Amino acid sequence: MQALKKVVTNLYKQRWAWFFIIPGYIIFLLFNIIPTLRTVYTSFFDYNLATMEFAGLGNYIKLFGSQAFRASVRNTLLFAVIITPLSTVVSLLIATTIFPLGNKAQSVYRGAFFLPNVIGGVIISAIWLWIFHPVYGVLNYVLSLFGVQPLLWLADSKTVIFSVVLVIMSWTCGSLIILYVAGLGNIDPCLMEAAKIDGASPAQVFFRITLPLLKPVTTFIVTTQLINCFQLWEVIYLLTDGGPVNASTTLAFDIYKKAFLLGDYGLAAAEGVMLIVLCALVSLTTLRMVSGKEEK
Amino acid sequence: MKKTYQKWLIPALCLAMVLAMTACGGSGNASKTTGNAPGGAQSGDSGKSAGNGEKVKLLFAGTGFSNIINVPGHEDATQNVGDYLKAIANEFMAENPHVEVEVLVNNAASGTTETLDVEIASGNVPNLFFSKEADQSKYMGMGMIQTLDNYFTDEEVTDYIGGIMTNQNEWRMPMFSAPKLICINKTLFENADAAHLLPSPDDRNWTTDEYMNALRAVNNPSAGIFPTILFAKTASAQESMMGYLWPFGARMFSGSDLTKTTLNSPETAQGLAFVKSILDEGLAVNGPTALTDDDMWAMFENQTLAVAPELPAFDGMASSAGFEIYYVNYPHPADKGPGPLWQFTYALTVWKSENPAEVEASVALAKFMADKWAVPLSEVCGALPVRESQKAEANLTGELQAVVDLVGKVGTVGSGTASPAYPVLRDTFKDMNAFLFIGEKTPEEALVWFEETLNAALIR
Repeated sequence: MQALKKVVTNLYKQRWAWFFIIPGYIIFLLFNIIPTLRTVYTSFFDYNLATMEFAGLGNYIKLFGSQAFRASVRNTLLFAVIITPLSTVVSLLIATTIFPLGNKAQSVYRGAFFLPNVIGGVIISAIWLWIFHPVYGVLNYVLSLFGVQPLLWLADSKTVIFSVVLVIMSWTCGSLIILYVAGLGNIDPCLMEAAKIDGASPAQVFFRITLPLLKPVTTFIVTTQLINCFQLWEVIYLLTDGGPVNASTTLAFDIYKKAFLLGDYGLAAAEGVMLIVLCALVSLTTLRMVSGKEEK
Repeated sequence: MKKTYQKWLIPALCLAMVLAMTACGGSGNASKTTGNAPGGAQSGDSGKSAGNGEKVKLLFAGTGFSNIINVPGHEDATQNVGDYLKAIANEFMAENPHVEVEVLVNNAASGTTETLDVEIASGNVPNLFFSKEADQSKYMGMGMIQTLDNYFTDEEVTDYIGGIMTNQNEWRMPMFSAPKLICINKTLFENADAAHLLPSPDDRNWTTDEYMNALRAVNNPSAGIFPTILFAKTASAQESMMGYLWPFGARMFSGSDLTKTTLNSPETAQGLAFVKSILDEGLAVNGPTALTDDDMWAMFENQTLAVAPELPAFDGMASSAGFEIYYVNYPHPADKGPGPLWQFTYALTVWKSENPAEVEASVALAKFMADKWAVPLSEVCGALPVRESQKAEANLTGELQAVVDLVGKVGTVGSGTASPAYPVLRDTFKDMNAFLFIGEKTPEEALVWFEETLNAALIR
């Protein structure tokens, strides 16, 4: 009785904390936890909207035998391995270039680089669709001025990955630049001055002082970029439809196709579970590598 | 003690909420698992009256085709995409006050039925669905469609042209249809002094050699004029690509057996080799695996494309853009006669319901739409009526009348739209073309791949 009274008293004392936490928690439960659990549940069934029959591990066996799934995993990992380090390095370079500029100039550049983030993936993809157009595209026009034959940017399996990477970089680097500029702003200038007084070169200052102090920002950027790469959908849907012949399909896009084109929701759910597992594995491994280095 | 109970209170609360909500979702799902018995599908439970016979509420789903606006005779009520469904529903309700019709517009832009699928997954199963036939067959395969055998008289059935509707396990009600054929910007050919290379108006058929000669004559890349276009980025309008194969003797299935494809044949390989030769000779827009039928429409409207394999739906565009449109058949090999045409059919399906009054009302609405709206809708879609009694009503242009005569002469061919796996078929056909266009497979290899992939899906 006493214990219960204590519980009620403490809950009453913390009522405002609960008041502010619970709405967000409910939303998180409704739109994240519950759909995830339902997806796991559905992945063990043969579900096509009309019937739902228990299939055990059948969907998973079918999945690993699917050429489209294997291509999706390969492409998703490829995008993650290429886009994450590339976008991190490019954003850092741009941030260190614009950071020393005055406030106004910095604001202009930050706004310009961040604009694609605001516009969104659909419009960015639509714009790049025209840039890459085999007949009317400005890229091929520029190449023709140098006497180079037009390239089939999205139509050739050799160039499609590069083309998609270019689009993703143009879309996502803006927010990364903002984060790096903020990170650079948090570094005490006295440290740089002290290093310069001690005779350190600009390269030494950058690699020995700036970069280590930007590690928290870099960890965040690498983790979120990895997760974004695993969620690539709208760019693939608009630019390539996963083609030519699964050359650019990703896990998220293949899930969409299996659900809404094939009507096999159980199989799509199984692939969704695999996406969660893969994403978690890669993210945890990356975090461990980074935190492991910190401990050392 | 305080930290202990706090440590467990939050996860316990979360688990309780999750279990409660998952249990609710599970019981909603259980209602669907009983729906696979014939006539057992639920009609949704969002406010529909139970079957007391006095008032019926229907959910009328339809695809919001972008060209179905400003329907003749109903211009004010059909200004926006999807409005035609509301207009039909309102007219029907005015004549049938005991029926309430709710409308659901399926988004056509995605090329799939995902809007409808999401509604079905939430428990809102429609009573009727109007769309192209290819969208409907998968629901027939799921056992959700009502057969119409007991709802049509013999007279009503025989009114349909060419036996397109029967009274034997008939699962859809055709509204109107149009063949996929070759649409020519005749003005571009006249400008290139090549109009004489086109088939004569009386015949409208030509051989593959004549076709290639015409394409070569109109080819003018420096002026931005492309002879024709091939596309294999998405599954949309892949029937336009299939049209090249029918004259060679290719057939997707053998008769009514939809369990395995018969497309893998020497005839089809010849057809694919011909299609590839169009691309190899530079007579089609480069990069077909990055192009869609939307690109074809845009280029045809801009008069940068001379020949478009599509439905005969360009009369309005031609008169607005100021060029002359001309419809002819796909080219056939010299040693074979003209090939048949594939028909793009818009159809209505009535869905199963436990409430017989809902099915009766749905059939009534379907017949109402067929009687009052089929002709004006066919006009905006550039399609043709499918009933003898409506032929006289249809306001066919000279070119469309020529198309009707052409179809009558060469006949029609099926591509398996009645197969529940038809969306997979189209997507697999698109990938087969993509393999061919990027040079990864020869026609024979591509057909073997197509056969293996599609047959595996058909077995499922």
